[in-house]
Amino acid sequence: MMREKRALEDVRRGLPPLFPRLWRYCLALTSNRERANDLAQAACVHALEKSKHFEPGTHLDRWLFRLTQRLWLNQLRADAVRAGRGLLPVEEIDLPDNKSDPHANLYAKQVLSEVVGLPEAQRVTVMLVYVEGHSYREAADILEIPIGTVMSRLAAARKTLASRLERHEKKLG
Amino acid sequence: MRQFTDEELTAYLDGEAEPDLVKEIDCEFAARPDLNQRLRDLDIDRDEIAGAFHRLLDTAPGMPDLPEFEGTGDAVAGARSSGGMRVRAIAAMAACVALLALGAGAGYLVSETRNAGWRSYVAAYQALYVGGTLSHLKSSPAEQVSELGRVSKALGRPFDLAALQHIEQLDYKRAQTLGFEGRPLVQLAFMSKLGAPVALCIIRSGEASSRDMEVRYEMLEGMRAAWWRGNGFEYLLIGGTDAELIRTAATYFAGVL
Repeated sequence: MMREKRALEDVRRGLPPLFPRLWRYCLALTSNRERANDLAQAACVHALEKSKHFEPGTHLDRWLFRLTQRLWLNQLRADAVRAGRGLLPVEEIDLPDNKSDPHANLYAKQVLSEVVGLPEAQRVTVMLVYVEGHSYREAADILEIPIGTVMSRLAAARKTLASRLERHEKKLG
Repeated sequence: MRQFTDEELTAYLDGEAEPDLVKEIDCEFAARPDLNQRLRDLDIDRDEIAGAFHRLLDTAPGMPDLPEFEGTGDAVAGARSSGGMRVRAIAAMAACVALLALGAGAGYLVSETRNAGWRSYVAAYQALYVGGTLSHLKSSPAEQVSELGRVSKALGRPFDLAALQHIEQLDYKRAQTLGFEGRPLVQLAFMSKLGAPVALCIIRSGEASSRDMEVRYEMLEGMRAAWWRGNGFEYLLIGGTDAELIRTAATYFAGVL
């Protein structure tokens, strides 16, 4: 009982500082701000509900991302597909401008747009490994997939991104 | 001469390859232009990607208010009247909100959706509301009036706060604009005295020739509902299981709105 209380407390305290990253992860999953907002909120409530399954002292972010991933795959996305509506298209996701360097702005927006435009499985794996900095093993654990699948996804994502971003760089001169 | 897979080359570039593989690729790299080219084809700047996503953090919304859970996860689950369904409901809420707000405009809603009607979507959305969804909302009358002004503008018809506060058993909470098939859909949310979320949703009639219609009653997603049509708008009042409350409120709203 004490352990469960501590777990709930850890989750409750850990959520606010993690929230921006959680939201960003939700954005990678959903590719849409509106849905990311809703998914992040649902994930927070779900995390509190499931807090007894969190092992105090372990990585809350990984646990939270895994739980969010399940929530998205098992329920939210499935609901949309089941209802025959398919998935919503990728939204144009904008970045705040860095006034000092318009060229860098443009490129950063392009990078973001290309990553967000990847298929969902690749996009979320790129987010975990290249943005969140997780190892292949950690990403595989969060996504609950074999490590080989992480590698395949990243290889495919790299190929697409390398080609598209190179084209964009050439265009920018 | 070994043919490396894209996965192996990716692991090499990411510093995740086993030492033997690293050694092998390093050895062959200089002598094999094809390998050089393949690595170039997989080459991306991870820092650029991380940097772009880092800037995204500045645009993250604030942490939402969450229900005050007391005790452990078990206690939370036990406190729910609908048990395990609650978890699914919270999760599905996100999808419904997004689909209501965005789905139609995206062009993904096909005839199946139209046949289902807007009421079924609203009902699915409302089924996900629980007491905690609205109970923390406390707005001043001035804020409520301002909020109503915003949704009135979106829908193209006025709302009177006093009318929304008229039914004693319903505590008016908030107004928000959603969307269905490109049409604004206003949701006015209430809490019943017994803690059931109730919503009055209004949308402009899809067909210009739609005639006014008396209040009809039905059960949607296990909730009491009333719907009617008047002055070019369709209305759906839905929530809880108190038939008398829905009847009283629908009769009143159909008369004043």
